[in-house]
Amino acid sequence: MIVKSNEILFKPLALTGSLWLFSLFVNFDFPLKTVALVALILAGFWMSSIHKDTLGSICAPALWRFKKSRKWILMAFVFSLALAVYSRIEDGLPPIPSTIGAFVIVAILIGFVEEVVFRGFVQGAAQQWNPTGAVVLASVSHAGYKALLFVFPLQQLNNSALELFGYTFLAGLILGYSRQVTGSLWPAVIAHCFFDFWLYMEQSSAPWWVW
Amino acid sequence: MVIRKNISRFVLSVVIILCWQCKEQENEDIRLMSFQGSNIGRFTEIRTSFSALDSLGYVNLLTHNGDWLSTNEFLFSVHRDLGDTLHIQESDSVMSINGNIIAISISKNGPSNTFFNQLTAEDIAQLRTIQFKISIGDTIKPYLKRIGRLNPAVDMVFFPEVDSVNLLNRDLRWLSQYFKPRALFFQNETDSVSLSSLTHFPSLETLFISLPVKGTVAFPQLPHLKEIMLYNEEDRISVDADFFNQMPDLTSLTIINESDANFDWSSLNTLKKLQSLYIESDSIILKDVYVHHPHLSALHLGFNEVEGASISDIFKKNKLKRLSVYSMDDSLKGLYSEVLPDAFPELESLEFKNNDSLLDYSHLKHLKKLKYLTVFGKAGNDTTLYKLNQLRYLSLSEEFLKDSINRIKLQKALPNTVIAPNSGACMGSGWLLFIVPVAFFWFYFFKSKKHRNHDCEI
Repeated sequence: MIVKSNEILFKPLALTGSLWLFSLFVNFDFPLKTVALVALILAGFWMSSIHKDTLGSICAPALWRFKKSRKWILMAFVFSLALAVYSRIEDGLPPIPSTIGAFVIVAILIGFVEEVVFRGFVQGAAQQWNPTGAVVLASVSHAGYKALLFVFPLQQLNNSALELFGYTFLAGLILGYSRQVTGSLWPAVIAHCFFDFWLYMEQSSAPWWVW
Repeated sequence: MVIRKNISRFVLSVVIILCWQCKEQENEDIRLMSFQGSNIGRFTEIRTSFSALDSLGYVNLLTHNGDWLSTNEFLFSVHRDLGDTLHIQESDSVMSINGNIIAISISKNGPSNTFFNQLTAEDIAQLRTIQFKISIGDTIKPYLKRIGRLNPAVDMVFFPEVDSVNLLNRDLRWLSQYFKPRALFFQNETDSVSLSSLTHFPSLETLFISLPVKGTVAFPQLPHLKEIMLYNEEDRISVDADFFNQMPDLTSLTIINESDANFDWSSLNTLKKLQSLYIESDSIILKDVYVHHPHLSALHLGFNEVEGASISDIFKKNKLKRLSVYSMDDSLKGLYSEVLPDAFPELESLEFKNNDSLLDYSHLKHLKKLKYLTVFGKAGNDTTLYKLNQLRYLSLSEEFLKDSINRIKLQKALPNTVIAPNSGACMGSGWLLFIVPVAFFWFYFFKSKKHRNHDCEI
């Protein structure tokens, strides 16, 4: 039993490790940035391996069903709008953005890919081990990735890396739970993308940590 | 079991890194902040100002924790708890930042008793600055006592409108009973009594005051004083070699020498813990500055005339992180862009004004740690600017950036350079987008390998 759960957990943990390594080094300049890109290639390898071996992987139609997750999708909209408005007010921005900047498309794409990676691959691969444990693992994985982006080089942000870890972990629990209950990735994807869309709508260029 | 043990160790080491990072963040210096709602500038640099690039009216300002900023009416300090984006609302007597009351100004126009009665304990706890434009009247004393009880460490600023030194000294004696301010700013005339009354504020960490006239009593010893800003408007000021003997623990010194005071610059040599040195003066003589101040990380030099400056030693190899040089007319001798990479390898922030010798930016590319560049006046050779893709922040003259073609060219050449508000970090790295094609590549690699193996078996 333990050997089996080790086997099941190995790939999502390996994917998590690769993503954490990537986020730790991605803000350096070259040649150190190469470490991050190698980690990214490794992460792609693990994602592909998970897709090959895991039942109900990312291309499964059930994961992208819309009809049965309508309630959760609506809740995702409301929850992410409320959170985005709160974040804007906390940052001193007006609650409703007044223009749409060119960067917002990239912001939405980043949110989409993060959900596919963490809720789709990490959580999906760990589900056979323990569905609830998979939610927690995906949340820790995502939160660690987000926080480690701001460890090196040290940057002054409104939130410390530990606070970022905390917020992302909590949000990840809710998003992961939505996938577990509905069997669909749409609520998590819509919540994350809409949140990024509302928060970064006015940005005409990327904040420094994006690239 | 083994994997779970390793997971725990891994997670623990990550948490340790994050905790260590939280501690380190307290010491992090430079901040890029965005402001909306008021004109904003650095308190010591009244001749420079920043403006918004876009219609939303956000002004991006490079600053650091402990820096003093001024709006139209108020003065406040940058501290770690302040967010990176600040929405400022100010009237004659109250300033709010992001909806919280940060400063009040006591003048003939207010605030009213109703305002003071409505101040909650939470409002008072968030208050950072009290400004005095009139002497303290009896009607306001009960309210100030309440503020002193709940928030005794509030900063205090005295304006020239309080034009009687006797009244100022009387107010200082009264305030010392109820307040333990962290900072005192005297923008009005002081005398020896004012200086000696500073001993009643032993908690003082920051002091802004005019240089005492020659022959008056020396500065009292203030055990927690870390930062002092001195200005003079009188020709008869004289600063001798012993002037700073009572302040050996100073980490930040600002000297604004508007008139031609007789300044013995060797008096600075006793300040071995100095981290930030800001000087605006015509005659500056700094010898072996990095030897006398081994912890110096920020240096600002401002001149009206460069002939009186003897500062060749600043071009020796050093550990400065921030350098700013302002001239009114001519460039500073010895300050060429070719000199910078060897002399300032740790430089993160460079600001200059009217130094034509720096307007070719091609050598700045070799400053590996340079992230913030501010150029006042002429923008110079902007094609060499396009190669500085290590920059996070770039500020050029409004005249240059008003031309939308210049702006577009810059944004295209320096896409990673922030001239946008730094609002939170709820989004990850954009490089993660490449994981999608990478994962597809591996998938098709495995698939084609599988087909080849299958064909071989057949």
